[in-house]
Order: sequence, then structure tokens, then C-alpha cells
Amino acid sequence: MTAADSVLIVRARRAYERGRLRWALGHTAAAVAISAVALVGCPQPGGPAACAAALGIVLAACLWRGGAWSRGARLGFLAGLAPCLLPAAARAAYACGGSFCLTLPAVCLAGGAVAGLLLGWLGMRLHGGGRSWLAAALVAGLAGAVGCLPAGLAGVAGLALGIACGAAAPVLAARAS
Amino acid sequence: MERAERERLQRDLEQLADGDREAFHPVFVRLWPLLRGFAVRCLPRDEAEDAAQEALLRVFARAAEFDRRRDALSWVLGIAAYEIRSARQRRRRRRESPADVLAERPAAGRSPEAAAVAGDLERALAAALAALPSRDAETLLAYARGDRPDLPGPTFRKRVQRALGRLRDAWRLSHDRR
Repeated sequence: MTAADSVLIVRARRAYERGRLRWALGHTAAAVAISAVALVGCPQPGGPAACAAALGIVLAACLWRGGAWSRGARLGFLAGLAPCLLPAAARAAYACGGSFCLTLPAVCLAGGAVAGLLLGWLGMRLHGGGRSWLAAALVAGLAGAVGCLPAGLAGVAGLALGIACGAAAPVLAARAS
Repeated sequence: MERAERERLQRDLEQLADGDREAFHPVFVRLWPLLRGFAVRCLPRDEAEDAAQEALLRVFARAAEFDRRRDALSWVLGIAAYEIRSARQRRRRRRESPADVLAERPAAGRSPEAAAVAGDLERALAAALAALPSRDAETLLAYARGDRPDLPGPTFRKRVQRALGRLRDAWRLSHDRR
């Protein structure tokens, strides 16, 4: 390999990393825009907005890194959509006023259970090991927090319980069979 | 490219699209000679090297977008073909640019014969320009001076092309008569 080829390799590597980052940021922007729907009509959007920002950073990093991280993050976002958007839909449907709504923790529990089921069921087929599980859980948790943080601590606890129970069910079923 | 090598390129590019950096070097080693050879067949050697480099960098910049359902070789050659087309267009524009026209002018200290021939040519060019519609002549003079009238770039280029075509026709007509 000539010196010119070595220089070209460095330039190609930079082009690849830049292109990958651009691609990851584009997908992240779309994902954050979708999760930002959960902020519509939110009485205190500060906390959920911070979670959405954290979701953006984690998602962009995982997509840019690629491999198991990327696959896990994509699954996590898909699973996290239910607890992210269901509370906003419930808020819009029942028009709950004030800073707290009693039905929201239950909705978060249900959304968390759906997310957990998806994580457990699809996660077993990922073959990404611990890294994909970690990315999936982190992204699903952050996406869920965007929707459930307006419901307060009860909402977040419902989300965590839902995800844990939902994810445990398919994993235990697979081990038993 | 042989079938086995093509399949390996497909696999490596899929891995690179998935973010596996281990696949970077095999893809580079496979693509660089391929793109260089492809460009040399379509462009002069000095421009082929640049076009092949641009194509290679573009392939790596877009590797994350590669769709595994597509054929890797066709995808890569599609990008290379676009770069080669762009290089050709750049070359064509360079040839038509006023800087090149000026560079092709004879030097100040030319011989009397050359001066006479140049004078004849300039007179013939002036006559051909005078035969053109005034808007075409103005467009060509502005283009030769390097001025850019208050027009969008593509519109101006289109006008220049049209005016050059008419000038060529007028030139051909006057020379055929002679």
C-alpha cells in the first residue's frame, strides 16, 4: 500500500464516521420528534423534555456506534413508544386537568407492560448479548419516561413495574419450554 | 468481478452498514482498485484518480444508508457513475469558462502572421456576433468578461449555451460561403 493510499484510508475512515453520525442524527431527530408528541398538553414539560433530550443523546450514540447497540436501541425505541404516547393519548381523551391525573399511573403500567413484552419477546431474537439489552432497556426507559414523568413518581413506578413484569414473562416462558 | 468476490463485498458492506468497523479495511481494499479501474475507463487518467477518490469517499460517507436488500456492487457503481458524470460536467464547464478562453489567446509578443490571422479571426467573430440577436451577443460578451447578469445561474448557463449554438451556426454559415 502506497503513502497516498494510507492518506486515502484516513480520509475514507473520516468520511465513513461523519456519514454514520449524520445518518444517526437524522434518525434520532425523527425519533425525538415522535416522542415530543407526548409533551403536547403536558402541564409541566420541563422533566419530560429533559428525558427527551437524554433519549436523543443515547439514541444518537447507539445508532452511531452500530452493531448490537444500534439494534438494541431501535428495539428499545419501538417498545418505548407505547408508554411514551399512551399517557398523552389518555390525557387528550379524558382531558385530565391539573398537574396530576389518577388514571395516568395505570396507563403507564399498561404501556410499560406492552413495552416489556415487546422487549422480552423481540429481545431474545436479537443475538446482541448484554449490550443490546442494555441499549434497549435504556432507550425504552427514557422514551417511557417522556410520557410517564408528567404522572409523577407513581407514573414512573408503574412504568418500571410494567417493563419488568412484561419483559420477564416471555423470558421465563422461553426458559420453561 | 467474480461471483465469490461480489458476495464477499455484499457481506462486508452489510457489516459496515451495521456499524462493524472491522469490515472497513476489506471494503476499502476491494473497492479502491475497482473504482479506479472504472474511472480510468471513462475519464482521462489525471481526472480519473480524483473522480475515483471522490466516489470512494462518497461510498464510505453513505455506507450507513446501504440497504442490504440491494446489490452492493450495483450500488457502489451507481455512486461512481454519478461522480464520473459530475467530473465530466466540470470538465465541460472548465473548457467553456472565460479563463480558458483567455489562456488560449496568443501571447503579446506574437509574429506578424499570427497577428494577422488573429485579426482575421477577431473580425470574423465580430461579424458573427453582429449577426446574432442582440440579447445573444450581450449574453456572450458578459460571459466572456466573466460578468454575471442578475439572473439565476441555470438560466444564465442555458442562455450562454443557446447563444453559443447560434454563434457556431452563424460562424459555420459564413465560412461555408467563403
